[in-house]
Amino acid sequence: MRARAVAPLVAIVLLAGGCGTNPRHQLAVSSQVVASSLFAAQDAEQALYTAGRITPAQHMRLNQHLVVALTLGREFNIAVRAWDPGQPLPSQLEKLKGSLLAITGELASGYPEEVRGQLLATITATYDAILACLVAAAS
Amino acid sequence: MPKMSAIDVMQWAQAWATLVSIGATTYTTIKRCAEDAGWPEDDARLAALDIEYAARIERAKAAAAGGG
Repeated sequence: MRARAVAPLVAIVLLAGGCGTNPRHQLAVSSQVVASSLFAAQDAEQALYTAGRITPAQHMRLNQHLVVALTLGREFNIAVRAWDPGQPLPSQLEKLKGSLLAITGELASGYPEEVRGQLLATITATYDAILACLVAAAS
Repeated sequence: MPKMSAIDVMQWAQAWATLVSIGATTYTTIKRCAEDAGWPEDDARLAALDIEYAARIERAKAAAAGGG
């Protein structure tokens, strides 16, 4: 009786141990999370501009930074598509971190507090996604 | 065919329940493994992301140039 009850558990352990998590899948998910965060930052910036919360000049400057960040995000995504387990992590992540810091620097002065808060929240989410990816790759 | 006792019937039902349980567990686990492996969904999702990136980069470029 007890053996029958244990059988499903044994099956779970054996099968779960046999499949593990695919590193490429982890990286693909990371790319999706990074993209979602970057897209959210762009959408938030556009919404703030449409609502008149930032000036046209600020809108232009932020989008100059967003072009860089989105381009790096796209390059990372392309690198992930071609990535195989065992290869080094695509280098675009480090550069993307730098571009996010540039946006943070842009937001440091001349922006209303609530604008800075909203945009920094999306930038921080992107940063977190990158760090999670780097930590996963290192472990 | 010998008549089954109530205990036999109960054990027979338990055996089948166990088999069904193992089958369901196996199916679920294999399905999850396939999802973890991510093929071919990952490639499709990454390809779709590339298209969205391209559109968003163009939009950001236009805004960066003062185009809205």
